[in-house]
Amino acid sequence: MPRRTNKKGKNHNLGHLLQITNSALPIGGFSYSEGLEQLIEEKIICNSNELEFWIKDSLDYGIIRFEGCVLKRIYQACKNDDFNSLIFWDQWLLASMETEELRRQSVDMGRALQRLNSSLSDSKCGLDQERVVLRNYASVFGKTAADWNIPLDSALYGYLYRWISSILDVGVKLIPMGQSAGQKCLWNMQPFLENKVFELLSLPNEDLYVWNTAVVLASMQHETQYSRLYRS
Amino acid sequence: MLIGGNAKFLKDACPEDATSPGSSPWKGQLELSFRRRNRETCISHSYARAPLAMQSPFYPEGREVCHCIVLNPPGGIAGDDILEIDLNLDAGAKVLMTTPSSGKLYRTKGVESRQTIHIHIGEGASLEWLPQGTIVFDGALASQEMKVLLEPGATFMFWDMTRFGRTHRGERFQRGIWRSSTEVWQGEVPLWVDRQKLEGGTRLLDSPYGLSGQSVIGQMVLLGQEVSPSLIDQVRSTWNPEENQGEAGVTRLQSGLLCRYRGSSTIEAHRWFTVVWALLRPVFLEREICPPRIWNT
Repeated sequence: MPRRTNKKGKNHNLGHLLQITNSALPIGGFSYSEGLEQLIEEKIICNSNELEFWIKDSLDYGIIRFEGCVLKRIYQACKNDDFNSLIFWDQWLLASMETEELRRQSVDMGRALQRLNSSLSDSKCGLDQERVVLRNYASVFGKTAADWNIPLDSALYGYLYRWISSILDVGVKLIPMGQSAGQKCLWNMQPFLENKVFELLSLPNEDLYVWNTAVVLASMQHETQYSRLYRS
Repeated sequence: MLIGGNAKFLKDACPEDATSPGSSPWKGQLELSFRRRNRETCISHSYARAPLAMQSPFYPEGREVCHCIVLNPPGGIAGDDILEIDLNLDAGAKVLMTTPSSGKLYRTKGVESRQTIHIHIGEGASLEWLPQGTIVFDGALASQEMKVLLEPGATFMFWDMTRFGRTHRGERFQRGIWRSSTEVWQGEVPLWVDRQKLEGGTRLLDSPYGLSGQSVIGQMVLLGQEVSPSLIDQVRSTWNPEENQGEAGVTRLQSGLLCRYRGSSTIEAHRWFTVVWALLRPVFLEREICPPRIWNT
């Protein structure tokens, strides 16, 4: 885990972090494959090694980077009561989700997490709750992490970790690959993930670029895939 | 207003193997405003600074739609060059713009070239911005930025096709950085944000996540109009995977539609986009397509 600077000690809000990244959280996170089902069907990804490369490329170049960067900006906007940038970044992220399927996933999961946050916690950031309607999962995650006082670097680490787990879960089910192979990928990814958190936290607005051609194509094609396990 | 040469002149003037056509950087500028009067779209303001220029507008499909060709006689841009284009369409104006040939992003030593395009499309106006492709030379450092603001009822149609490396001579995009940012806003709300970057020589050239060994990407968008699921299906049916080398996809955007292509042929992408254009134009602009003749030269 990244080091925490929180005064209250090492374990501060660790429980909240584990809860928000828990796979049992009823937000539908494991119903989507982000185009992976299509790629596995087309035999473009056939084993755990190829899946690991795909995940690394995603973290180095893909849309998940925008999600991480927006999470950070939303978190900070919540802490600073900055309503305008809260709305700006949430809309910006939705506009950069370039397929209907990716937008629907983000919005559905965002709505579910928002509902959960409202039902669980009453410690809210100072923003007028009625005015704040965030639509993306990454935005709501950022706001929830701020509400629950999870340190920002831990929250981002948790967000990326949960994303990798859900992608590996798709691989285990569809490639198929063994549970242990999935765990090995997750293990291999951890030092890399720490660097990614550091990199994304320091990325300035003008460097927000991705390469998403392959993911967007896969997601577009998945929208019409004949028989599928994962939602579109 | 400067009037540039024709496409043949342009091709002669800039041999394919040029790295940087001039020694001192260009600061080209083009401003155009259009207004609609008596069912006619005319230019109400124009200003051009070399190397950017514009041919006299022409009206191959009647006075309502103004066709324009933007010229950049050096054929492309190199390090430190800056090209700026500002387009303003008043309410109801209808404009189609294209270019005489592929734009080139030349190899450069250390300084990034920049091309920025700002577009404002007034109420009920439409712009079809359909340039020919872009070729990114090995060693290019180039940033392209386009910002579009739509008023209510405005329509924006756009495509771009980018080839990485002069593949006909075996060149790959081994060094350099290509960045392309397109944002389309309606009032205060961003409808579509597309910010792409490719660094030469990275594993993206070959990995399935990247170009997967291909050299061309392309996209076509329509924005400002709601697109029905059945029209999306129709657009999807225009692509036949059996007959094409590349791969493609279609999806709905917030108030619009997006088509993507990845393959090895700009011609294939252009052909498909033209078919999609032929399907969309009667629905949203109430006209059949009228492909500019310069595409054939």
